[in-house]
Amino acid sequence: MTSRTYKTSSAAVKVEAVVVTGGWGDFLINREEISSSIYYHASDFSRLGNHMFQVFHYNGEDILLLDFDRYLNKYFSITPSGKSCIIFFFDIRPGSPLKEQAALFMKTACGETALSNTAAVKITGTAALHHIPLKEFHFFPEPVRTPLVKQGILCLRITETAGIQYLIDLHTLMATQLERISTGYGNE
Amino acid sequence: MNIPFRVSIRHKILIGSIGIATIACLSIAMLSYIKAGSIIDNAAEQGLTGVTNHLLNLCRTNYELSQKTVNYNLNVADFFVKGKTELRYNRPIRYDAEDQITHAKTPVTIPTMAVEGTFVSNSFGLVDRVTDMIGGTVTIFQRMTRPNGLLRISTSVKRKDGSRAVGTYIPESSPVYKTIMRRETFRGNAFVVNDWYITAYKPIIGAGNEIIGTIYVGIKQSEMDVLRNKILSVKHGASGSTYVIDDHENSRGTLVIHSSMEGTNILDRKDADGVAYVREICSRKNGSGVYSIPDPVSGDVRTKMLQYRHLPEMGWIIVAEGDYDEINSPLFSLRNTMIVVGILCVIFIVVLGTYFSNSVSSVVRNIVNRIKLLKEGDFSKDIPDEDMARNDEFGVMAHHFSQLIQNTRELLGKVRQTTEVLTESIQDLTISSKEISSTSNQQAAAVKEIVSTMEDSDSLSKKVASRIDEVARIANQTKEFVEKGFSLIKETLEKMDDIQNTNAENISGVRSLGTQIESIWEVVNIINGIADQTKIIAFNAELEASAAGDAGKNFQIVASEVRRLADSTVSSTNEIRQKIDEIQRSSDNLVLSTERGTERIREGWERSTKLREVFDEILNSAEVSAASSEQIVASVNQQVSAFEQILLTLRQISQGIDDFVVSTRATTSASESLKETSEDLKASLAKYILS
Amino acid sequence: MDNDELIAKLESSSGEGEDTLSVEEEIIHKLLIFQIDDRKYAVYADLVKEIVINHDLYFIPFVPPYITGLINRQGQPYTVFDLKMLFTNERLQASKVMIMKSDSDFIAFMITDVAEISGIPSSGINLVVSSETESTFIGSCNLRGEEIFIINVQEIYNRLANDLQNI
Repeated sequence: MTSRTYKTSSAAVKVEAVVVTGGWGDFLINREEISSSIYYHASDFSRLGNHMFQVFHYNGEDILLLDFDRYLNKYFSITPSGKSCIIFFFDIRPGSPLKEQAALFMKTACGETALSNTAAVKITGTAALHHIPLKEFHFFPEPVRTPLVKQGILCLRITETAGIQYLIDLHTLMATQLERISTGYGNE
Repeated sequence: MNIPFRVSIRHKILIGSIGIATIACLSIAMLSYIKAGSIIDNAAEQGLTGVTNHLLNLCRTNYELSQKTVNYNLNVADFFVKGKTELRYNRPIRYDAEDQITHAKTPVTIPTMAVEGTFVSNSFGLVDRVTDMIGGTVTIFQRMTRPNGLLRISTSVKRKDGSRAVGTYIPESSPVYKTIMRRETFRGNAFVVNDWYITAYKPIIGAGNEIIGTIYVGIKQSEMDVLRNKILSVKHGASGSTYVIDDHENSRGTLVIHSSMEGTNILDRKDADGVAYVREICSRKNGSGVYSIPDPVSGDVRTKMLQYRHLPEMGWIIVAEGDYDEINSPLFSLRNTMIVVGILCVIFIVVLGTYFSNSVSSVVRNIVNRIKLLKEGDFSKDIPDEDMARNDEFGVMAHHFSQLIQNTRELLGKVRQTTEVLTESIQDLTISSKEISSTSNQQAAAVKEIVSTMEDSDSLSKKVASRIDEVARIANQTKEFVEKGFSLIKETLEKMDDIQNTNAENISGVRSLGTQIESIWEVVNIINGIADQTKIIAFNAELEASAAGDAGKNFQIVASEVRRLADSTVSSTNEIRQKIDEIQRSSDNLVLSTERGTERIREGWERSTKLREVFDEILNSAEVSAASSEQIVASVNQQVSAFEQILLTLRQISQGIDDFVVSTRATTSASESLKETSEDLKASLAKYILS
Repeated sequence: MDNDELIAKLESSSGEGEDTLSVEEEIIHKLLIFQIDDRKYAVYADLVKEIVINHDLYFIPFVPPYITGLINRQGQPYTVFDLKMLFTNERLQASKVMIMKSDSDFIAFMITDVAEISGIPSSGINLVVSSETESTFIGSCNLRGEEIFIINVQEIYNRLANDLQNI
């Protein structure tokens, strides 16, 4: 977690975060990371393949898409279900590990050499924008903190009503998962 | 009965069948022959009509096509002369103009005609060129006056001698001239020089908009090869033929199209009866007829059927000819076949009739012979088997007749046997009746003895009746005892019902106790949870105190005691749990044992019910015994009166036997008279021969 | 027990303590005795912060199976260990959590129940002598005839850190 990812206000430091809520719990994504989003009816994605990473054709571009539902199913043993799903688009930071991993994946998947600078993540559930005071976030206790941050799960927030919420960094999360694929774990 | 002349059934059948068959055959043959003749005539006429109609349509179509060709040709020819023709007055030319109708010649001088600067008068370059392009014939006429007409000055039409037919002119009387002068195009048949053509004439207009001549195109009617071949190829039958006769005024009767005599005029040709049939055809135009026409080559006279149709556009009469004998040849063949078939039929019917009449008459004859024998009393001869084996009504008749003979024979045999048996029986009867008479006397004595014995029995049965009365009284007393016992059993059963209801209430009470205990469980669990929490709080306090070292020592003791207290609460609640467990087990046992009690109560109730059923049966038996005793009393009383009745009857029997002895004597005399009658019957039957 | 009895006990206890220390001067170790299923274990009581009951447990991914999740104690997440899973590879069904004291490593253990806090003199503790690696147990002590193992909290923490490096 660095200061770059947070929008701060003068009085109390607050994080502008997108809270994605499904029937399974909450995930927080830094608002600044997301460039745009679209809602779909869940049935529109029934034709999507059953891999964690897909090539999503949108606005004439082939975009790398992470099926977050499959990620949740794999690592959190959660099977999201709902009528709507949301796709977040975000710009791949130049020089980030994701840039390299995404290029490798797209080349293997559809032989593309000119990679789109946009990546996407599809999540079944609804999203809302919240301003969360920075002090409400807690690091994971050591020693589990380091490996989780490495996987893109940065920290957590525990609330009275919603229980636990995980703040995720899409860049790191996707990059580590893509790395797993490229090192032979497979795009399950 | 004397019959002077008799025709046998056999001959009647034979004559009748042959007569009917011959009349039927002749009628069918005549009708068929007449009908077939008329059908063939109609078919031939229709065939010929079809041919002529077909050819008529063909010629008409061809004519129209030719006219179109002529129109086309005219347009082509006109193209060459239209607006390009002029008269050169400075170069007059002289002709001996010949009227093409009257052949009268008149000398005329006319200006020379030029087309595109080239002279065409007596020059044939242009017309030949155009003829080569379009076929047919092309002519350029120049208008002349005194006399008025259209003079041929250049043409591709040639005379019979091969010279160009220039110098002839179309006179002003001709419809061609008249039409041209009206500045119109003439279309139609025209006699050109020496033949009939399908033609078109168009005026040639000069520079001053005056008519200076005419351009002509034409196709010779008879030169249409395709049409000619078509007409010649169509014919009716093997020796039929078709041809076309010209019907134009000047050339009427000329064969325009014919397989061998084209160009010959046959207008005056006559048939064998002297009728000028061609003239008749030309005057009637359309129709048909049968003519005996001699062959022009061999002179053989053949009957021909002719069908002809007029084609006014071309001035033609199309004739279709068929050979009459050839047309009717199937009819003649049918006639011959019918004669042969008729003769064969008559022969077949004679043979069949003979066989049939023989077959019928033989069985009738056999039956008549048998009837004669029956009349004489001879039933021994049967109908021959072959007559009975027939599958017709005669067979059935023979079979039934044979059955009649057999039945009568059997009947007579049986009557004969019966008579013999009867005679013997009557003899036996006579002997028996004598024996009965003596036996009856003995029986009368015996019956009298029985009567005296029965009188003794009667007094004995009266004593038995008085004893039986006593027994019936005792049976009634037993019945009353059993009834008392039965009412006691009923009361017991009612008590058992009460016990059962009370027991059910007990069980539901115990069950509700179980439910109450479960709710105590919940309370205990809550207490246990609180104790557990307390214990943890105390433990944490103890931990804090322990961390505080000596300062917390006392607090640690307090916290430890609180924890122990919570522990003891937990263990107490555990004890309560055990107690509740025990209560629940006891309650469950109670339910179980109560249910077992219920089972026993139910068994007791069932047994009581069975006991009641047994008592029910005993009561029934007691009632039955009482009733039976009363019935025995009644029966014994009836027996006593019956004895009295028997005694009376026996006395009557004794009297009856006495009467019987008298009547037996009468029977004996009657049987003797019957014996004489049966012997008479036997003698009468002996005269029939049965085997 | 009424108040008088308790006061009497307090007075006598303080007197005894002073006597013992003055006579023998042996260090008394306070051990917290707890149960995992029916089996008793001990930890040094001064390492334990508190015991909590019926706390919500939150799932965390990418960790070994003996980590059952996180609990939130006054805003501070603690990593919860399942010792039964660690020792026997079977999951423990329990509602109590023993939270350990620490400034940085926030760890806790699932336990079936707590038994008591007991003071054991140094001589009563048999330390494990291990030549190769650090042991899961520091040693054992005998309490009323029962042999109880003392958990080596630091070593368990180290083991987790080591296991996580391989993930």
